[in-house]
Amino acid sequence: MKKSLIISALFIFLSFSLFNCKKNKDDAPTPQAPNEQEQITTLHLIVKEGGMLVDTFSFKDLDGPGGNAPTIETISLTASINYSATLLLLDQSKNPVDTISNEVEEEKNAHQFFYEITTANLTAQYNDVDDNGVPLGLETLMTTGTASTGTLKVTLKHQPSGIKPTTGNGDSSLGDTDVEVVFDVIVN
Amino acid sequence: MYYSQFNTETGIFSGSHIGNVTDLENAIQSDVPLAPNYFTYDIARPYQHVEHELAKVELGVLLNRKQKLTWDITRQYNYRAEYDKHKAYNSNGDAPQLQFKITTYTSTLNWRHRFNSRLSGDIGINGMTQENTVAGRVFIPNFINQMIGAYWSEQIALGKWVWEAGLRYDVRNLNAYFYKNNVLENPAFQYQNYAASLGATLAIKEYSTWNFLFSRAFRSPAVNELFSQGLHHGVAAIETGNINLSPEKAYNLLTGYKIAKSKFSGEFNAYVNYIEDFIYLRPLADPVLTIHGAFPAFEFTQTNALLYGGDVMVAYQLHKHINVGCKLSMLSARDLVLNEYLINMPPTRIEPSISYQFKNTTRFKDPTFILSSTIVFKKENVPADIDYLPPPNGYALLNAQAFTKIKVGREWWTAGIKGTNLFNTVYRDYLDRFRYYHDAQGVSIQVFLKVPITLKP
Repeated sequence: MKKSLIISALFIFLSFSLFNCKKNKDDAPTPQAPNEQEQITTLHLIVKEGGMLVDTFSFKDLDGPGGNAPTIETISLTASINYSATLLLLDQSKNPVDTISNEVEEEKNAHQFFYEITTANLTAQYNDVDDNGVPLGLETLMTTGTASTGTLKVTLKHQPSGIKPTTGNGDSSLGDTDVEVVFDVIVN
Repeated sequence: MYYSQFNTETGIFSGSHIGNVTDLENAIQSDVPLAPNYFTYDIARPYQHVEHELAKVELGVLLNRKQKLTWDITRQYNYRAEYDKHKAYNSNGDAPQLQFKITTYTSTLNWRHRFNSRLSGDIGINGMTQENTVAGRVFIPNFINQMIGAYWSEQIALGKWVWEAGLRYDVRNLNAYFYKNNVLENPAFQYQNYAASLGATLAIKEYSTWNFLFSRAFRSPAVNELFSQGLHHGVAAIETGNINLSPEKAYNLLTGYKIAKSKFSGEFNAYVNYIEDFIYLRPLADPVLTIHGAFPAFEFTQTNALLYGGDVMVAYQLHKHINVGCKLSMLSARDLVLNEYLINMPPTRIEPSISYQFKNTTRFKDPTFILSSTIVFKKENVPADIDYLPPPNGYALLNAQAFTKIKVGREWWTAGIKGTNLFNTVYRDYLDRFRYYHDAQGVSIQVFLKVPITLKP
């Protein structure tokens, strides 16, 4: 009697482990290759004058959050010039490098960049729009005034499913911050 | 034999998923959460999905009247997926940004023996093997953790004294697997050490006892303490592990007095605990800047610590139906290397309560109403200037619960209602990692029903 109880108990347990238990199909000694993990490592601000490349200013954090500190270049521009600027977001931890800004462009109705300038004599104007005519901000026109110093803060807000306004110039207080980077600015 | 399964989805406070230093400082200085602009019961991103599964088999063989052999084996499976606010930009779409799968098997073989009515003990071995895999944003690596230990404990009754002594030895192997700069690394660690204890209980009177216990224990570093790297989404902080951590060695002396005399019962405990290489999470000087913004940052470090404190629990029957009680716990902790107080140690806490037990009827058994309070003092003895925020003020919460057993058919069900923080007191708790961003939970009401399920073979 007792033996048959034990045997039936074992049988039930085995059937649980064989059929019902959730199995971990992943194998610990073969971890997921780092290529499968998406991150944004790099923001390039590409500055042109009359279609000719002037300079590229970058925020880079190749090892992702934590670890080594990011490197942030100072934006150095010449006084009284009309520039055009393009933002490029990359995942440089991948091979080949993944261009995140292409996906922002594809989802432009749910994203917007914001440019906030303090003290420097620099202005940034949107030069692209989403399907509703609301600015996107991958492309801007930047104009410098007299020699000065200050900062430029670039923010990418993710404003999914109806959060991004469909009229006007957008609203930086809505949505979630995907990117927020502060550059020092020198106008010579 | 036992089997259980548990699945849940938990939302994460949006405001702790912060953008940068400014957002962080705004959140810290704000009395009102910055992020949630509306309240909702729908769990949207960010959220966590959690599954637990437990299966256990236990076999016991009675060798004779004085000896029993037991063997058990347990399998536990845990799955956790974290979904960030933002879906991945690439084609992974709705996939989680981080997922853990942990499978753990443990097994114990125990020989319980009783030489005579005064001397008895246990000898046994137990083992564990644990495999963890992680996918997505790497916070801790894949690892295989194996542990085997042997123990022996005996208990002897000598007059009014009962003495207990125990010894155990553990060996633990830990293998981690992760990519660093696109190279697969496989660091291996082995920790082995002993634990020992000696204690005694003296029956002073038939209603009171005094006991003491001296023990030496060790704890080897956990995987997150060694390897944490990056953003810990669950607490919205960057945590950095330290692969050079050595095991903690703790020397503990505790003594207690217990009394249960007519309408009064009480328990008084005091302890001193010296921990060599005590592992703790220390805030870094500045928040860490990432491309998504700044997060408070912490690193695992170790020191020699001295912890001492006491607990008191008293209860008194005021009236046939009315009981009053109070619990108190206090602790002081010093870092003996830096000669300062230790961070993140619990503040002094007092919990008074009063309960009323109604008469039993044929339908209702033990109907009870309990009114209680949780009073937590501001943590005063903290290290100066290393935390992102000073300890929050003390607080007092009012809680109440009512429950009863109800006869339904031939079974007794348990039904009740429980309310915490009934005055909706605004507070933050020192040990709550989200205290940097927002207040703790307001008024909360739970209704519960326990139904026994009897399976007859």
